[in-house]
Amino acid sequence: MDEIPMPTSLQEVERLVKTLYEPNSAQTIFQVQEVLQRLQKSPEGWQLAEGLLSRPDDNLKFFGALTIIVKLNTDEIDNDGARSILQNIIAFLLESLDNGSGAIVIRKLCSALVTHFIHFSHLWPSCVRNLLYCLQLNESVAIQDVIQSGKNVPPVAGMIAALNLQMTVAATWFATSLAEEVAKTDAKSTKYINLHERLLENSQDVAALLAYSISNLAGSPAQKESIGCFQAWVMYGQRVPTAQLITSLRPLIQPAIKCIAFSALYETTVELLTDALNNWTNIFAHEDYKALYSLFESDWSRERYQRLLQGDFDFDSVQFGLFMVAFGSAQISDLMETPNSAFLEALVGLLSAQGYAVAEDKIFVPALEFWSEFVETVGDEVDSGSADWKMQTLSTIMQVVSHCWRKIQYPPISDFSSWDSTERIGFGDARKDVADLLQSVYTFSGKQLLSLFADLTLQGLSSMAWAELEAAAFCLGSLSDCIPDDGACDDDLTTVFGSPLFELLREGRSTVPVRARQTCLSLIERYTDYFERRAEFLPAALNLLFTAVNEQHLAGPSAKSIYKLCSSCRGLLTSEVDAFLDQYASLRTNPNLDSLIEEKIAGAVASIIQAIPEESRRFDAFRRLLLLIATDVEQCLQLKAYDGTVDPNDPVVLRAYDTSQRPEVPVASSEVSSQIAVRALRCLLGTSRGLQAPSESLIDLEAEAKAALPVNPDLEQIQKSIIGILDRLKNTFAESSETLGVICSILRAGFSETEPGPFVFPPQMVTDFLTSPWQNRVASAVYTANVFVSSLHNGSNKNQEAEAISQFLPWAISLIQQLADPADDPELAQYVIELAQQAMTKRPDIFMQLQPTSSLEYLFMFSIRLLNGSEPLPKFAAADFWTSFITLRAPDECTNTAINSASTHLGPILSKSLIHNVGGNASRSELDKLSDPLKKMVVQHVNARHWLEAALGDAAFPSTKVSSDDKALFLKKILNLRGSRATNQVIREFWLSCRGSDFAYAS
Amino acid sequence: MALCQMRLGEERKQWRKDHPFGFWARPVKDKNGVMDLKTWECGIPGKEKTIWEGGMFKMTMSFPDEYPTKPPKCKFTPPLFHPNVYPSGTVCLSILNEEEGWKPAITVKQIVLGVQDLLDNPNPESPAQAEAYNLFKKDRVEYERRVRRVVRENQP
Repeated sequence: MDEIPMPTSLQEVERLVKTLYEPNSAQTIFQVQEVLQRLQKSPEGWQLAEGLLSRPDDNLKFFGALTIIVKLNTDEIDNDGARSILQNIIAFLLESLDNGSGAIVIRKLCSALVTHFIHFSHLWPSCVRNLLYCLQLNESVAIQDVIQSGKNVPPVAGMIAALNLQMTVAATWFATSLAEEVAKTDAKSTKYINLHERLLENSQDVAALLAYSISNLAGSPAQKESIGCFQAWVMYGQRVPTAQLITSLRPLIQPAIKCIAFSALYETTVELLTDALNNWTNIFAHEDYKALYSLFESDWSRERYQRLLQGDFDFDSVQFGLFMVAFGSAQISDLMETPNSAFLEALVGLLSAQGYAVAEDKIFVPALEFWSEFVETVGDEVDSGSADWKMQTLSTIMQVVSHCWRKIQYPPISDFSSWDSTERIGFGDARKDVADLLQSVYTFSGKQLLSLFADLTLQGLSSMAWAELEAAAFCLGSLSDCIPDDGACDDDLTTVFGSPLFELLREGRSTVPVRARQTCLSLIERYTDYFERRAEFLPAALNLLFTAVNEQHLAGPSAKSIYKLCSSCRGLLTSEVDAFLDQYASLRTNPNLDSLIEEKIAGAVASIIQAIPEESRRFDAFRRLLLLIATDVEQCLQLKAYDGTVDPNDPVVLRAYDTSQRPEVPVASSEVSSQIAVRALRCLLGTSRGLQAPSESLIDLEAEAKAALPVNPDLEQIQKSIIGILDRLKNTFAESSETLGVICSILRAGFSETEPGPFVFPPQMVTDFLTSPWQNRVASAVYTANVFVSSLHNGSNKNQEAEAISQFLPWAISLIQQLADPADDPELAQYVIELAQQAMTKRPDIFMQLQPTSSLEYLFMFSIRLLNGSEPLPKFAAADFWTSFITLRAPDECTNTAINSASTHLGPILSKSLIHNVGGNASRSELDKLSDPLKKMVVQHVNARHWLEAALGDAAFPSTKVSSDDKALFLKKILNLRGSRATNQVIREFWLSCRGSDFAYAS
Repeated sequence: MALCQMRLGEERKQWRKDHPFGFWARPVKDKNGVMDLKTWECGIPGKEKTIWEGGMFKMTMSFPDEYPTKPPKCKFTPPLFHPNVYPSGTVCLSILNEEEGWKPAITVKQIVLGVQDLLDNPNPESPAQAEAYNLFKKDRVEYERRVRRVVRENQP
């Protein structure tokens, strides 16, 4: 379409406005709008508005009114101009009311008046009264002029009574828009403070208007509009609550309550009252609450309530429920005092509406919210209430519990699968909320709640009512964190765990639905403590879990439970270790055994092995476990040697890939072998973690002496086997970063251990392994070396620390020497610097005497490069490194001399790097970290001033935006602050000046 | 202190009324069932149609006495493989930083949504752990493979 020319006559404008209401392409509409907007903003806009408002067509008039709004918002208008504009708008409003213009025109003119008030409220502060006066006179006049001329202005009530219906509706529209639009402005900004004050001055007049319409114009459109207007003012009151507004609006509450029973007014009124109850309870007086109580006792309410309970979840019906809940929340303290009140009983009933929660029943979740709040609040009063009160409250709460238990029962699977994902997740969330509620109930009820669900579980069991059983078991499980760990509830739990439940779950695979089985199995994990105390039930529980591991839907949670149970009850299970090894061996024959699950099981068995007291039996058991894993190791090595493809149905492929990731076409044997290697290693990792001593076990303070004991030759052999496996896999799968990553994790698992064990390798073995060649992921090895050094420092092998550092340091430096650019492997760069920092602080003597001296120099300069670079993490590591170096002191004088001499040499270089960073090179988020070495430097070094001065004056200083005076001032400030926290702020400001103010918040 | 408790009570109420779909968050309770409003446990689901979908990640929110002047500390337990999560599990996110984007008006709901959004939209400007960050930058295939594993390990 060609560009639209600017119209030259009103007729042309009319044509354009009409195009907006005709079917046209989006592009045409867009272009027309553009032209019209330009026209509106032009000086001719006022003329245009008047011209359009005088036309008979509503669309044209609407556009005229809109133009006035645009002009008011964009033009600069003086007071005189504004006064005459106001008279004009009112005149147009009167005319439009007179000639029967449509609602869109009247509403738009009311909006124009509101816009006028927002900009010029000082010209007609009593805007509502002014408008009412004009309406009843049917003449556009300024009320102030009338008052000034000495004429009598009738009281507001008189004006209101004199209006016809259309006028009343128009005045109400104006009052509604007034509250809505003024609410959008910031009541705290100086620009709008007066506006809000003047608005409040109008609230009495508005209330008078609304009171008249609500009470005297029953059944008319004005009544409905008045409720809407009231709501707008209540919304305003929530944003800007004032006592004045409450005084004005409060008298409207009771008349509004009376409107609710009229179907035409119901939706607006219920929304108004619910909103006020939820967000602005101050507006209600005691009498209003009494009126609401009576309302809820009325036949009308009873009828609505019954409809809701019988499953009418239409919007208006649910609204009623939400209204009840809002009232309940507002009255919660009163309701707590009268636990047997009829209204509270009705709120209990809301939990028992017909239909499934969320998918059908839309009131359950809001009602549950109320009850959660109620129970939580009532829990705080439990000690202060009378016995009678307590009994009544408890009885009410137990009804709540009973309804909830019914509500969270799953529907038959066919119904459940017909729900969409939102409904399913919503149902699950509701169950979680119920679990949460039950925990709060427990504080109030104590053991009684546990007994209830134990009984319900057994009832479900005996009547084979699976949904009920499931829900009861779910509730029972939710209490596991509440009950005391002294065994006081064990008898109740025994009724469940000693019942035929486990037997049925194990044997009746086809009878008990998966979900019920799943929930019951999770009970075992939740009550691990119980099984620790009542070991006689442990075998049945574990047998059940092992059976379940073979079932797809139950495998994950069961493996988790097995792990937790074996780990916690390890001491009780040691005599059965062979049976567990058999179980594991048999599970491994299942081609669909998921790798994550196998890791858990391997870890579970290992944790039992860890607890075997006799060394020889312990090592025997471990060897059996290792042998199982070693078969995978052998297999993957053989496969790697065989260079070809493997059929996707080959058992070896099934072992290599979990069911969801299995290939459908032949795969390269190298690929398969790599997968199996990772699987084997992950099982080994699970094993190494299982073998870790439980954290609560006693730490032997005499460990140092014990470490000197000769190593058991069996253990030595085992360790060699493991390291042999790690070594072979490391070299064979040298390109697989996952393999190498897991190998390092396995090593680390032994570092924290204080007792000898299969994965607690002799320090030399670890050092040799880590410093051997890595073709990939050497960063991982350096990181591991770093963890190892700190474990030596804190553990019983402290005497090995020096040796380890002496070996790691040259190795790590040689690695960075091979790095052309630190950015090629930022992770390696970071870890080497972290390792060097640790070596330096732990053993400054070894660090400073490193040979050849050139490698130490390389390290220092490398660290400067990191500081100058842009990789954040290596940069942070370097900043930490230098912070440590600046404050480094050794116990011996010789080392201290070396440190001082190095400092003198490095000080200027470091200063230059730091100053260039804070001079604009660093990014904002790095400044705090970079401030650290700078702060230490000014405190520690006599030459700091000199070094920093030189760096600031350096020709390569990155910014030209600061003068030498600025730099001198900056230096003076940071020196005077002597390393205090305030330095960071000074640095930040300097950095900003160097970058220039445009950069203020850019990075 | 009183302000902190009052605000947290209000947050709890608001969360009950309106919380994002699939998330959970609640103050922890001690053995006697007494609630500690200053420590919340929550579950952050991975967003649909991202590589994080299907995972449910457990996070602890610790509110300081100065809350809401100061932000809560958010920590994944166990620590999460993610460029903006410190090795300790602490989340590095501008809205949780007192000196950056924290405002007292930020709600628990906004925080958990912010963290969920961070999962699939890491901020390369503030790395917190080397491994995930470097893989994210240099080897997206391996990064995504690792994330998928993390998701499998963190099923709801």
